[in-house]
Amino acid sequence: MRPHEIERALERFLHKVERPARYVGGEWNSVVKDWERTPIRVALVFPDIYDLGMSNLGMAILYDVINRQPDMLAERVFAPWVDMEAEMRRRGIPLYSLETKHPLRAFDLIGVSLPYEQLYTNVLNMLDLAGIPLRAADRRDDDPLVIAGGSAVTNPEPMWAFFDAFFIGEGEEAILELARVAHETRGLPRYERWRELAKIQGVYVPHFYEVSYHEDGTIKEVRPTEPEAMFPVVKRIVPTLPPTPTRLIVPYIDVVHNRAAIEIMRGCTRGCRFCHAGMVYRPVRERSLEEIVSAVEALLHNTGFEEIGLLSLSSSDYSRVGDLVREITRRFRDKHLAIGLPSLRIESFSVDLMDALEAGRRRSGFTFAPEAATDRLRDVINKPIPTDELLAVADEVYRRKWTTIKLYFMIGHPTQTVEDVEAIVQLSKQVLAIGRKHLGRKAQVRVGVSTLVPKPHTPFQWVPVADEETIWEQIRILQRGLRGPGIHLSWNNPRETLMEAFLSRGDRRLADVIEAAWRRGARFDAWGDHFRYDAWLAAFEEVGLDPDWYARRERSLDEVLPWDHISVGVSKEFLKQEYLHALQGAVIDDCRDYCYSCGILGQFKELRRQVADEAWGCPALGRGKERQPVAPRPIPLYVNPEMSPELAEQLGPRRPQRWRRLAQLQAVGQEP
Amino acid sequence: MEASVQRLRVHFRKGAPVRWLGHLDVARFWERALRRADLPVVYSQGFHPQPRIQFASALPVGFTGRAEVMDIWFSPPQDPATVHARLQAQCPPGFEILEVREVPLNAPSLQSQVKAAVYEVALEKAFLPPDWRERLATFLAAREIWRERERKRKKVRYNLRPLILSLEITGEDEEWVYLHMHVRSEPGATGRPDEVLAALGWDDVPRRIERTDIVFTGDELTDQRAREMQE
Repeated sequence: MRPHEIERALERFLHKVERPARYVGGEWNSVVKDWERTPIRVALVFPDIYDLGMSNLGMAILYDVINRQPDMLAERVFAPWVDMEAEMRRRGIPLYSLETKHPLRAFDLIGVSLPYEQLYTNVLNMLDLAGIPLRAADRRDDDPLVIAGGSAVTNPEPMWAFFDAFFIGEGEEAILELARVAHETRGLPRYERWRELAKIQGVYVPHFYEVSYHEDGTIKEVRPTEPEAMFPVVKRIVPTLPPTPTRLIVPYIDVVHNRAAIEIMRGCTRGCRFCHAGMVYRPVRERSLEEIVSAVEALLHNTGFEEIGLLSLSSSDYSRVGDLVREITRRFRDKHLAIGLPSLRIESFSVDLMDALEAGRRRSGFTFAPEAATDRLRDVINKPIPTDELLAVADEVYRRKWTTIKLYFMIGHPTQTVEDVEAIVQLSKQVLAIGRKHLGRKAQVRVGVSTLVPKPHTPFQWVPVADEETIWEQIRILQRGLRGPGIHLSWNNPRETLMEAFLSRGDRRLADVIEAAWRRGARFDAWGDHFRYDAWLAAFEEVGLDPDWYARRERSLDEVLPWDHISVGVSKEFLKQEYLHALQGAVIDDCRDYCYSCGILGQFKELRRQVADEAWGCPALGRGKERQPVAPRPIPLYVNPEMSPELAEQLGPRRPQRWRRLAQLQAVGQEP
Repeated sequence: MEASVQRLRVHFRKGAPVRWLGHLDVARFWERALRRADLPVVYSQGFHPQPRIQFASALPVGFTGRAEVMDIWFSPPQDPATVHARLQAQCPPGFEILEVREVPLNAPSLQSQVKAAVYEVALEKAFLPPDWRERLATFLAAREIWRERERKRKKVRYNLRPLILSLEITGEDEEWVYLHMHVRSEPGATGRPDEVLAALGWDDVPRRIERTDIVFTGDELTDQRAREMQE
């Protein structure tokens, strides 16, 4: 179908689907280029509905970068909701782009954003709707190249068969190289096109690697088969954050995050051991305060959004966060602007920040993520906030008239006991009691509990997930304990956790499972009521694999992991060391105060030299520079006395991260 | 304080490119367009300040409108021509400002004055049953046409027929059948053309629906006149 035919066909039935504005584009700041005169054409695909995809800043950044090139265009494609999909299939309408309504097949490059694993079946569904063969090996020479990026692709293996290539890392620069190669090689044999792609740094062409297995099913070896194939494939990063897009598309419909967004900082220095983002987005890079303020100004002028999100993995750690809040509130106070500063740490300073940001507005909620409810377990996960401090912060929050505190916890951390689960109940009740003291019955605690999904490239990548019944038992403890007025508990479906667990740490053999699950009707796996666990189990059975082997097996430290040939810059040695630290209850410092040699600096030292000393969280290179201490064999800040009493004695008392007592650390001078 | 406030009445068109927007989407669009234009809209007091904009009547998803009306309060007062130009500059294809003029601050709310609405409906002929004329005639001959609609999550039954003031076939060509509908549009008694089509069993028939006029209390606009104006 041609664009005008698609448009005409849409007009015939859009009145029958839910929220038709999802499917037509035309929003303010959307870029519609002349198709005929723009040779290099990229479709940016987000494999969920518009409402979610339009809240994704990564996609907005790439859209902006590509459309700035005079010879390139980028158009958006989202997954149609089930009602729309049914109509499209019934009427033979192929998946099309919002800007010019071209079918997906007409583009040179299809760039798929994969931020999380629950989108995998949607990718297959969308390729099918586009009339593009699901498997890269089956694609015709004139089909577009289909390439995935995003944080889920740090383990590309489960989806290996469906993509011509994966791009690992930050795509702001590389997307242009990918688009050019896709355009220039169009029509050449696919294998030749893959060769050209594989030459680009950060690109993983899965067909250029061969995997062999041991008899027990674990991986024996991953071997590159072509000279172009890099081994390992190292992620790409940008040495400094490129200017943030200030002409963001303004959606008409009420999308999930309906606001202007700007990334104030990338990466995080805290080193929480469960956190995928904290490991894979290293090194830490900040935008300057001046750049942020002028970007906010431009964003408001260009978009008219009434809310702005200042995004990062840990806003409190932005080095000038106080100045930033002061400056933004001073400048935009009279503009009826809501300012979001998510991901604040549990400290009273955060309450001051929110106080300044929400001055004069309704104070509804405050969100904290202690992740575990005992000091011991928080030491294990390296998120060391003492319970006393948490309660003191809660006191401050309720005292200043916020009525609701949201607390996020995870169950299933390594070394977790029943007591740790019960502690979630006790801690939440203690927080509520503090709220009652200040606000009486108005005080609320909302507790969100999810189950740990051990992610690749994190210190917990070897950790097993509990079985469904055990997870349910833990949830029941919470259900029993957390009821009654003022308390609200929500939790994740353990089956969704298990699915995420087998997908995120799977190997190549899962591609058949994913396809079988999709053929059995799995899609929109992230949407509770559409999630079809039965389809997944049947798919595993059909392929002859065991989901528990992937999700629930404790992996040995010397096992070749399916993603070992993908490097995010953080070394496996560092991850192992951190896993062992976890089991010892050893806490390490914020790496801006003490570099633990995670591998990033070694991997990217050339880039480090290109930027200013203060531009990265990593130590500056060169003699005589002022920098945090660097230790090739790191010594923890302290060790939890319940976990390792002897070591704890040697290392001394609990100290907060950023203690920065080098002398003390050096004085100990022994191996942990 | 009150003296420095001004109320402007803005007539606008919601065209084909933005027809799939719902009423709340349209409202949000204007709020943001006003912010981009940096015009001093009056905001409500309180914890959630809202810009003071009032619409005459919500236009359903999928409909275009060429006589849409809203009132916007500004402080300090603005030159209507400037507002017209600056707001138009913030409109994507599909939204067009037709007129901006000042109205008294104490004028009654637009919504309270709406009496009726006029629609032009085009139906794709290939999808209509062969006996569509007869069906339409039978439909109009009925005195009661009971329909259900959802109001605050409750199903409410109502009689659609008395809400239809007139419904005529105005033309026909190879592709389309053209209807002209004049329906009541008052609080609790609003006739909708898509409901009429649904009641006829023509839910699946591709259509283009445009609201061509909103009739207010005191308007001398009779149905007859409305039609003359369109022509």
